[in-house]
This record gives sequence, structure tokens and C-alpha cells, in this order.
Amino acid sequence: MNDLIERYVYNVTKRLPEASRGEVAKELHANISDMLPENPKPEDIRKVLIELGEPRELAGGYREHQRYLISPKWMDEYLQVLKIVMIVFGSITLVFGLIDHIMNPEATTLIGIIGEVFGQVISEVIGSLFRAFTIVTLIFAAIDIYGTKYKKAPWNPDNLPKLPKMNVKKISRVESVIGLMCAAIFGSIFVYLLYYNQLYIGWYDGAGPHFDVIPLFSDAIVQTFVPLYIGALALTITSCLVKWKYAHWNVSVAIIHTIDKIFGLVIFLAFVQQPNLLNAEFLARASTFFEVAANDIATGVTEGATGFAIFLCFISLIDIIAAWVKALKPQSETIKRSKR
Amino acid sequence: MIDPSMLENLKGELRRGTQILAVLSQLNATQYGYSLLQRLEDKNVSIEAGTLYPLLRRLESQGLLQSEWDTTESRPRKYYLLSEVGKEVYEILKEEWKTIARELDGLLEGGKGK
Repeated sequence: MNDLIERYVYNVTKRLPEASRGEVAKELHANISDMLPENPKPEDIRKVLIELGEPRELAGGYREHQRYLISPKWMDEYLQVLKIVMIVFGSITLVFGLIDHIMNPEATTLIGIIGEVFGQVISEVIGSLFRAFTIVTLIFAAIDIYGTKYKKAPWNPDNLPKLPKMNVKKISRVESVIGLMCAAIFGSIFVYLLYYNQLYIGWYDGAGPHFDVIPLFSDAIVQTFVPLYIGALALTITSCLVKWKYAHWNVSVAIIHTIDKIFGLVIFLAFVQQPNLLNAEFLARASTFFEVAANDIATGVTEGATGFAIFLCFISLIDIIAAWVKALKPQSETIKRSKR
Repeated sequence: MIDPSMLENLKGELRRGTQILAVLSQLNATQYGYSLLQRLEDKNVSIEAGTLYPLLRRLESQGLLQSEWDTTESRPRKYYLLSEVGKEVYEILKEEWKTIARELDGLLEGGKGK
């Protein structure tokens, strides 16, 4: 029956530094046997152990210092840095992951590629968030250990950081409305032109008013993408409406802004990466006109478009990060409120 | 409505600082852990076993107590006694306690009177 006592003592002492284990175990044995009557019954032992409390808590009492990975005095800074680093890591991985998987897809169908892009990118983003978390946590744990070992200079009120800018980051309503109108007008024209690709975007032969048009894009691909472009347009319009509604940056605005940018980018990248995007007839016509091989024109156009797409990715990355910084601008609203 | 767990916390916090003084006051003569626990209980000072035993060890490592194992009896026991430093510290803490009690009495009674 002593088994229970042994187990209890072991579970307390295993949590203590090795140097003190032997002595604490001896003390505990002595104290427990003092608390037990002569010839103790199992219930007596259970009663005494319950009175002594959970091994974890008792061990905590024996330990000289409270132990933390990140101590409470660093918690605020830790959480703040963690938030920023995770957003930056997450968005960088997101954008580069999108570029990588859209450029070099393994799947062959459009649906397959979209599925692959989302699946892979999400798992990579989650991976990078974990890495960001680990790095920040380790750095703060190190700061904490260093900080407790070496006493820093006494606190000086002059070193207090300045107050953040008072107002939240405004989004002008006029800007939102103009954005909304541009998106609606140019977006619709773009979708319209794409949809009637056979009629408008192409190589014009002959003299007006009766042109002979050879379409630039192959119709099958364009028709697959039209609904997606309409979706992207709808997202952009929603984003403008949300910005107009709140008229300042906050988390909801940043989320819809991010989704809008990324969706648009993904569709565009997927579009320019389609292998037979350019109409064969168009290429043939152009190659006779410019006296260049049709293949060279095709690769040239694809490379140009891809380069442009990568450029767009960088711009969007900066734009998205800026949006989140504006949205998370710390507690400016609270400061304003407390000053009133 | 008073939250009972909050109330327990507040009471515990108020009591915690006095436990060291209570323990030191009983160690002019040697005691082992359990006998000290019973002695305090007899005087209606409640301290949990799981709090007292680690506290004794801490006070010893701070040099306020000295200890000795007695292995002559069938049950080995660790006996504690105030060290010279411990005696001095005890006297100082006792005076501190009296001051605190006086100050608080003034506050609590004064509040009632006016």
C-alpha cells in the first residue's frame, strides 16, 4: 500500500531540481508518516495525500522562484510583436506561395490548379505562422532570462515612448466612391470585352467600317475565366462598399481588402499562365506581319505578362501589409476616448 | 452578490503574509513538521500542510531556521529551530506586525467613528 505514497513523493520530486530531490523526498516521507495513524488503512493514506494537495502545486511551493517562459511583465510586448511578425510572415508566404504555385502548377485542369494553389498555399502559410510563433517566443524567452539575470538601469520617465497619432486612419468617402465607380465601369467594360472576345479584342484586317477580326485570346479559355472575373469584380465592389461604410481602416476592412487583392491576383496569374491562351490564328497572322516565329511571340507575350504579374504581386504585398498596419494601428481610438 | 472564489482569494492574500510570522513564533523550541502543524491548529491558526512544509524548507534555505534529522526513533524526523538570525528577524517582524495592526486599527475604527 506504500505504493501510493511512493508515487506521490515521486510525482512531487520529479518536478524539482535534482539537487533538492533527495532531501525533499525524505522530508515528505517523514511528514506523511507523522500524519498517518499506526497501521494505516488505504483510506487514511488517501486522506493524507488529499490534504497535502496536488503534486504539481506542492512542488510549486518547494520551488524558490516562479517559472515562466514569458513572464507577465513582458506579455504585452510579446503579444504585440507576435501579432505583427505573424501578419508579415503570413502575407509574405501567401504572396510568394501564390506566385510559385501558379507559375509551376502540377495539376493540369483549371479546377485542379485552383485547388492545388489554395491547398498548398494554406499549408505553407500555416507552416510559416508556426515558424514566426516559435522564433518570436524563443527571442522573448531569451530576453526574459537575460533581463532577470542582469538588472537594467533604473526606469527613467523621459524614455517613455511618444503618444501614437491621435486619429484612426481615415479612408475618404470620395475616394471609396471613385474607386467603386472605376471598378464598376472599367470592370464591366473589361468583362464585356472579354465576353465578346471574338468581336472586339483581336487583329483588325481590312478597312472600316467592315473589319475582319481575328481574336487575340482563344475563346474556350476566355469563357472559363469570365465568371471568375465577374467574381473578382463583385469582390472589388464589395471592398469599396465596405470602405465607404466604415470610412476608416479596421480589421473587417483589411480582411475584405486582402481577400479582394489576392483573389484578383490569383485569377490574373492563372489567366496569363494558361498554355494556349493566345489564339493560334492570331499568332499566325502576327508572325507573318512582324516576320517573327509564332512561338516566339507566344512566349514573349507570356513572359511579359508574367513579369507584369510578379510586379503586381509585390505591389499588392506592400499594399496588404500597409492595410493591416493601418487597421491595427494600436489603440488610437482608446486614447482618443480616454482624453475626452 | 459576492463571488465566493474571489472572497477566498482576498482572504488568502491577507493571511499569506502572516503565516511566516506565525511559524517563526512557534519555533523557539524544536518542532518537527507535523507537531508544528498541530500546535498551530491548537491555537486556531489554520495553515495547510501543503503550505507549511515547503515554507519550512524555504525559511531554512534563507537561514532563518536550522534543522536536524533525528533518526534514533523508529520514525526519522526533521526538527526545526530558530537560528540566531531567525530570532532577530522574528523580533523585527513582530514589531512590524504590531505597527501594522496599530495603523490598521486606526483606519478601521476611525472609519467607523466618523
